[in-house]
Amino acid sequence: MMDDVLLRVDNLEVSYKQRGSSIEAVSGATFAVRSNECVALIGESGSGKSTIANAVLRVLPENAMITKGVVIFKSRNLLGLTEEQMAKVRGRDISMIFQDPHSSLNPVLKIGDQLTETIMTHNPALGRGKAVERATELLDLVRIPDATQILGRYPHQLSGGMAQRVAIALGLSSNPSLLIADEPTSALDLTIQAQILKLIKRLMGVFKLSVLLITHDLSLVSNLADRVYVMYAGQIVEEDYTDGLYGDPRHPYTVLLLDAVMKLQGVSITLASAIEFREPSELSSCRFRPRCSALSSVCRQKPPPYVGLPSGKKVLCWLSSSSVER
Amino acid sequence: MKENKNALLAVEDVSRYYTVRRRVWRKENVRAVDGVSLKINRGDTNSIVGESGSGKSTLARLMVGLEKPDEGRIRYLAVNLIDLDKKERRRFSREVQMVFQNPYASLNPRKTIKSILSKPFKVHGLEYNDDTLKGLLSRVDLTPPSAYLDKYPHELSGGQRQRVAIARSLALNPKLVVLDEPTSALDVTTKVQILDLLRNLQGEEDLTLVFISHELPFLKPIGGNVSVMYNGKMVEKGTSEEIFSDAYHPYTIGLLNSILEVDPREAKKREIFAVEGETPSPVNPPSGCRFHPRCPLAEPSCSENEPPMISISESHQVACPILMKKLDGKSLDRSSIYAR
Repeated sequence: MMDDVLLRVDNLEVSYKQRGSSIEAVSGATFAVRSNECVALIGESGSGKSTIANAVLRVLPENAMITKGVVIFKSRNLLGLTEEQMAKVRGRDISMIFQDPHSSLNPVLKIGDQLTETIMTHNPALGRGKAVERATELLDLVRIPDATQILGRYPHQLSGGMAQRVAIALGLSSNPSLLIADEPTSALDLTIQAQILKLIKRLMGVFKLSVLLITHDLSLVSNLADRVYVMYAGQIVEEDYTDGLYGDPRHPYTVLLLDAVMKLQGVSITLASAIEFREPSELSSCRFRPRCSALSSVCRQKPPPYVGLPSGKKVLCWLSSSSVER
Repeated sequence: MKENKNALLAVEDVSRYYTVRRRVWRKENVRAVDGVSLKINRGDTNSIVGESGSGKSTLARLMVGLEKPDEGRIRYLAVNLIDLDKKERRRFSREVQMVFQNPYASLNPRKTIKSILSKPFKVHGLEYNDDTLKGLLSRVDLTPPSAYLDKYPHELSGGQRQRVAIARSLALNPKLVVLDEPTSALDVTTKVQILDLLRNLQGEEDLTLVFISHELPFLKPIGGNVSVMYNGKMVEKGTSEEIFSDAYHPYTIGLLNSILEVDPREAKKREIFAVEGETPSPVNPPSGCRFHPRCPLAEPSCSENEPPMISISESHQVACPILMKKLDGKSLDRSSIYAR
């Protein structure tokens, strides 16, 4: 089972320097993505999920530092690579798409030029004619009607949905094995969201892609992800198969998240935990403690253990062994 | 014409055009809102749903008087907004308020919460004191209120800021509050709270709320009346129940079908549904019914004539004659109209 692991992140720690002090954004994150699997990192804004994605690709802002951990991709530690080696991994083996598709596209280059340039960079032997052919193929693959016409357009002439399709085509042009999708649909309209979701699902099959999905949207996770890691205040607090997470959430934060979604759908539920985000009082004990309703005295004294359950689920909580009444 | 006693705000056949220059020598009109009518009754909750470019935000701005209609009229308590004299205009701006999507942008970062909340009183020359402001804060569940008065917006979370923005809109006891995507910028858990707060306000006497949103699923718990907009046009309006379980416009049905299943076990059983095609540009809208290029039921006549609003019940109207005709009183599985 473990041999088909494509990406393994071990005990990753990232902190941001701010006005002389350093703020821990990710602490001890450990997770894996297997081949042809979609893994989701879910959490609210500020939970550290995007920082993890950026750390994997080593595209963190300048004030961020990876202080600990390893990122193993195809049995190479990405954190040990030179910048030159890393540039080859980016775009070739791992591609990333963002919430705002326009940020992945160069605004002053025509779509056709961007695509052919990328294709030829990864495949210098290919002639320009062949590269244009491949570009058209890719646009067809992401279901852009009238691909030849789109090749001559600039990014600003495309709608959000179209631009996201082009960004995906661009990401796939080098046949990567891992696609990191950071909130790929949240800037899009409802009908277009569904289109892009369908597309990603189809491409996973066509390209035998693995996807690392970064999102706060639970319905996206349910429809796409095989496994989920729930993040809270920089830590992974629960991991499980998507079904298991939904059917038997154990961490009080996961329970809160699921209940909140139910409530938004009109199910009347009283939320057990405090909803408003509260700053963890200290990072050494449980970080969810200020919001938690299930507190016991041990929560205050020692940091919670990451407990593995027989089902394969893991939970960062003292009270993980008991099922939650919902 | 019979005058509805309860009508607070009436949008009557309103259009709003923007001029864009696509070429140096040529100007074109964007029909952001095109011939839209809507009646907001006192005490009712209304939602307007649509995708980006549907004109919902322009409609919101028209309703609060931030924009003037190019055609048609908007009447507040039966008086056309452009006919309001100076005194009436001040009363209108006191009684009709707006809350914006992004609480990071709508609160001045250099002012304290106290200063932000007292501004409406100062503008209108009304009496207030710290207790008034504290009262506002507790109305939006920011307790203890005294802890918030001297804070700056950056010291608050997104949810708390949106609460302050809502408190400010309530400061002068408005009759109508228009909320443009009030929860879209917030995390799920915070969203629930703001929604709870708004649902409590819904129950308050003499306060009418209008929600503008692109998130159809979240409008369900709000209830009230729902209007669906597409490409500048109103395509369907009705009560929440009528829209969510008895929709007659293929676009509304498409929207409802594309709501994602949240339970992964259910999600596995069903294919992700998507309405194919792009949202058309309002600069160059399709002829006839604007949804016809994406519509599974489109007939040749759909590209020729603009469909009129047809009444299905007193509260329910739809701008599509085709599905009505197809149904002909029989019941039909609405999810099947997109099946090939």
